[in-house]
Amino acid sequence: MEDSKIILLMQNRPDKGLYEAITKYNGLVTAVISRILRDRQDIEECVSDTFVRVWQHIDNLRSDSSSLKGYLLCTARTVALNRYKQLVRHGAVSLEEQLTEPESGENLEQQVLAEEDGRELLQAIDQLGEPDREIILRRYFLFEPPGDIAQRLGMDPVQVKNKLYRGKEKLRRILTERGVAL
Amino acid sequence: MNNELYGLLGELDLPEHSSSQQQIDHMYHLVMEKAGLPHKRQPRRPKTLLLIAAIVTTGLLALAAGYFSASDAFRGHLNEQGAGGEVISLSGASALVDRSGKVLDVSAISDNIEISARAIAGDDSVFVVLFDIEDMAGRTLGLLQQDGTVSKDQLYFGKTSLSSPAIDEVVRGSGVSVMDSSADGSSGTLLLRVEFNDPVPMGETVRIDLSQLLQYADLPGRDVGLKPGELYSLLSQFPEAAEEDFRESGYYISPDGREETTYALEADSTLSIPLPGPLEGYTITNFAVRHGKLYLCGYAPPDSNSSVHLGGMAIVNPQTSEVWDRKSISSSYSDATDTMQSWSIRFEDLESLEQLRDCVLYVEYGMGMHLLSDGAWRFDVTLDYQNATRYYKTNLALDMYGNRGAVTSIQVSPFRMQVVVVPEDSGLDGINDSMDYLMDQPLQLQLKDGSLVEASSKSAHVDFQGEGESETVRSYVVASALDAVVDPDLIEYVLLGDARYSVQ
Repeated sequence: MEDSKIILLMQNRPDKGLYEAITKYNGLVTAVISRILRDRQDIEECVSDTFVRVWQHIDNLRSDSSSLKGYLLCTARTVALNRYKQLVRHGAVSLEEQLTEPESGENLEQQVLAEEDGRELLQAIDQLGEPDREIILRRYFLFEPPGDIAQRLGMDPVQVKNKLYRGKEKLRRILTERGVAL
Repeated sequence: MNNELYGLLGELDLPEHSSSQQQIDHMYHLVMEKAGLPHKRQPRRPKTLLLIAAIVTTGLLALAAGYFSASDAFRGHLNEQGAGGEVISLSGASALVDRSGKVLDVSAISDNIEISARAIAGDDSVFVVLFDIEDMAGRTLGLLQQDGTVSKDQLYFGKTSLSSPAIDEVVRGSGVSVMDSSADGSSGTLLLRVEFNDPVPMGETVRIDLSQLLQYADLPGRDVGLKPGELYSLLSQFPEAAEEDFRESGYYISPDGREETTYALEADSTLSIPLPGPLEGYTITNFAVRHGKLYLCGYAPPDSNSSVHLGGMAIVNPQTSEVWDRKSISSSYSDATDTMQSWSIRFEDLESLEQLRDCVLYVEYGMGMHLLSDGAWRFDVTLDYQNATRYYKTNLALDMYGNRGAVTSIQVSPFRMQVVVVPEDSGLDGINDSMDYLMDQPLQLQLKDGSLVEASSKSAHVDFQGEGESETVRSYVVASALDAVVDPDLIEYVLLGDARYSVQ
């Protein structure tokens, strides 16, 4: 079912809309959250929280929008990161390799979470051009491992890592020029 | 900003991640509960999806190949599902918990089945409870196989939950498996394993609720009683079906992401071929061939509310052992009672009817989930068992992709193990390589008989010290749940990659 129909259903018939959304995106949302969390119950909780939150804020999306997938992915990512931070505080967390780059990925994330600078950052990412833009988004917003990104884009993993490194440098330059410090 | 990010992420071409219908239903239930929305099971299209999903997830290889080798012990997707690891292996656990656990004496009766909690054992994050189960009505706790024996090797509870004042939310048990059973199949021993993210609230009394005694069966299939050639003869009597004979019955998402409409043939015929075994009560009432597709249609028993059993149907050539697997299954449901009324199965890529001259219709006996009892059993158990964890101090050198470190402590219990690695250079630069190394290396136990116990899942996290710019790595902690329950007395080594530590 098209996303626009699912959004309409979620706004008017939540039971059916949520069912359609879960049927279409449960696997994708689970995959994204599984890159952040390891424990099955944590993952399940976060997946269900994601769908509930999206439903609670579904009025923010236009029914003619095709961004349901993006909305779900962003929400899934936020919910999982919050849970991850909660687990860190309790010292009971399975740290995925994707989150072990505090000098890079988390700074990007913080910038995105900060509304104004986040807009600047997204605009800067948009300026990177392809495939750098897609590589940065996949790596730092969806936590895809470089190997997976390489496979998806038909590139060598080393090439992806280089592009990540250079992409971050380029982002720093763009943002510094705009007066935004990373 | 958010809308921009949604747009950027929404544009990405992400791979399909299919979910089984069971996963979808489970998630839907969770979501609706959390959202506080009234709901009922989505009866129509999801039923189609149920089987499509099952086919996609468990029989994709067979579908892609079109044909695959079969034998008398044909293992279709239902049996594959049963053998697919849904039920954890806890071999050896019964005796261990019996020997070293704390004795319990709590029992509950439901649906004429008495379940008694016999013993509990555990460590600081996992505990297991050993249950005796007895059918007081003398029924067999399992499925009767064709040879008269009872299959009861994968019994488990469909719903398990655990709650206590000390636990914020309900914790679900991760699996129950039959350890032992009597010759007549009326009694057995089961084990429940519960894992916690936080430390087990020792000393607390917890409430354990069990319900729905289920079984994954592993039973052979059989033909429906049509001799070779009879299916072909029957089909030959039916002319190529006309378009108006079909009705749209639903749609599904095909493996390549396209939405496909399914069509079912109106079941209107004088045929009435009863199906055997798990499909008892189902009848075939019509066949149709159209555009290289073969449709089998029929009626379901009056009380049928699941079409999962239909997934175990195939057309088999007994001479060549070729199996022609079904492509999709449609069902129609009664609005009033939400029970299945008619069904239709589609086979594709039919070159000509000649292809089916020697074939028979085959029904798989195994089932994904067979409900043996819908009972509900409740136990209040105090968690005051002796922590079974053994602690070892060591100084085992590691080279973690260029970063030197040492395993400084090891914890092993019958259910899990954990190693702590302290890096030589506690700076943050080596985190990525060290974590890569620790996640890449298998963490295993080597038993005295030389066998290895693998970890079902491994996790690692960094324990930091200091704050801000002075933050350094105190240690890396690698933990793993075991695939089986292991008697610590039988362990000889803990292995982390090439490094091994003797725990004798």
